[in-house]
Amino acid sequence: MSKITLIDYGAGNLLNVQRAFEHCGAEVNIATTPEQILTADRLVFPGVGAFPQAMAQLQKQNLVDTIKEAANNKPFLGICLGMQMLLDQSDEFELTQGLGLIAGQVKQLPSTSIDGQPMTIPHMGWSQIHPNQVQWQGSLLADIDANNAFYFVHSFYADVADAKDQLAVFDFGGHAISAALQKDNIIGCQFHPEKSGEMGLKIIESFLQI
Amino acid sequence: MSLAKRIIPCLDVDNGRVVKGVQFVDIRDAGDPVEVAKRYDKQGADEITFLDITATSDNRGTTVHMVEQVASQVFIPLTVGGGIRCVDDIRTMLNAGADKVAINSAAIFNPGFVKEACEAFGSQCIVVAIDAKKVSTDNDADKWEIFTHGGRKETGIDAIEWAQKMESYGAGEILLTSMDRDGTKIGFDLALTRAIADSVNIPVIASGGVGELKHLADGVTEGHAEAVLAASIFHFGQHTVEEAKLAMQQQGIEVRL
Repeated sequence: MSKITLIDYGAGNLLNVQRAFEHCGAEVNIATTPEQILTADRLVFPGVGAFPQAMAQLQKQNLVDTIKEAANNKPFLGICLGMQMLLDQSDEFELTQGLGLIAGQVKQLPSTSIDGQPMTIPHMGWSQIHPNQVQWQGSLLADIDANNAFYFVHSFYADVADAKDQLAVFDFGGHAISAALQKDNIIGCQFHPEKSGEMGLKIIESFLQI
Repeated sequence: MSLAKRIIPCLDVDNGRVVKGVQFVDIRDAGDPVEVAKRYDKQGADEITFLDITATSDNRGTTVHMVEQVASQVFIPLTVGGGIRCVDDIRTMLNAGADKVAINSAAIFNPGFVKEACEAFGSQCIVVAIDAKKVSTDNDADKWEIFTHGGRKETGIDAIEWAQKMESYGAGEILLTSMDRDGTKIGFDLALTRAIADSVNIPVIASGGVGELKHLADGVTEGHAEAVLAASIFHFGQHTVEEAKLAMQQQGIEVRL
């Protein structure tokens, strides 16, 4: 049975992520300490909430360096805020340093479309994702066809420095916004695979097979 | 595709069972919530809403257990409403697996509760449910007010002003039910839906009155709703969620298929 370790830093809906992985046949462990993270097979880093508080909590639990170390050599999946925290910094409320595993910044979603229409924020609901510059072949999204939709709920987004790290984008009023990131073994998704029905479960299954 | 318009089957739950809306003479059991939720998930529902129609304290444990059961088998967003009165009620439901809670009467008796809830859990999980009824006569400009107790008790609060106030307090969505249309099967109150949807920037979910598939599309195209909610047309096999989506797509509405 595939084993995953969920990083618990008090931010987010850990339980629903756990349930989705268990539904896909995984054995789920919860990690709150550096030791538990370092001994994991695969790491999942979920998150709902605000960036500054979440980073402060990681520091409080002494997890920052451990996550950076573990992310270099284990399959690693960040979800929503857990994906955003992989970047260099965020300007949510105040400028806060992130984990710096993927180059880029976390910014507020644009308030207008490219033709000047006001956009509704948060971006909440089902959006289609598509490749930008990187092909999905061999990635976690390899089995996802063009007619897809995933569940999003967020007000900030990952503005990556290198388009090669951007695995998928969605359309937000004409802006192409990061839907999924990948750099080596580190993967992030802005959408919630645990809340995206059958297609979301497919991604979870793919992660368990890495 | 940008953001797909959502179809949300609504399950009225009484003591752990899905029941057909209370306004009907013939109250029928529509099944076990877990089985019903799984069926709608398979049919392509975008979210599922549970309304605990008894919502007494005895009932609370049953509801929590039901949310846990559903959340461990259905992997789309779940909203739970009915009897949400304090921050602890919200925490209990979120811990059980709900993604959002719908606050109705408690918002009217204590509007600050909505603010408190949004600060504690984030706007994305706070839905304010509004039960509105038309109070203007045919010769006057349209006016709707908020009613409580299943449409029996008036509050004197203007529905549009109330929706704007709830948005300013941080509500992430509005679940708008027309008490005039609820259970009638003649369609949403489109004037009401449009009046509210056009006066706030948060998504409005239209509810109350769906009797045929066309009504769902009307809620989006004419009512300007971001999402449409229906119960009885789905419960007894009259239509599937998939049929509803195809019908909406035929009207040029973007849906998740």
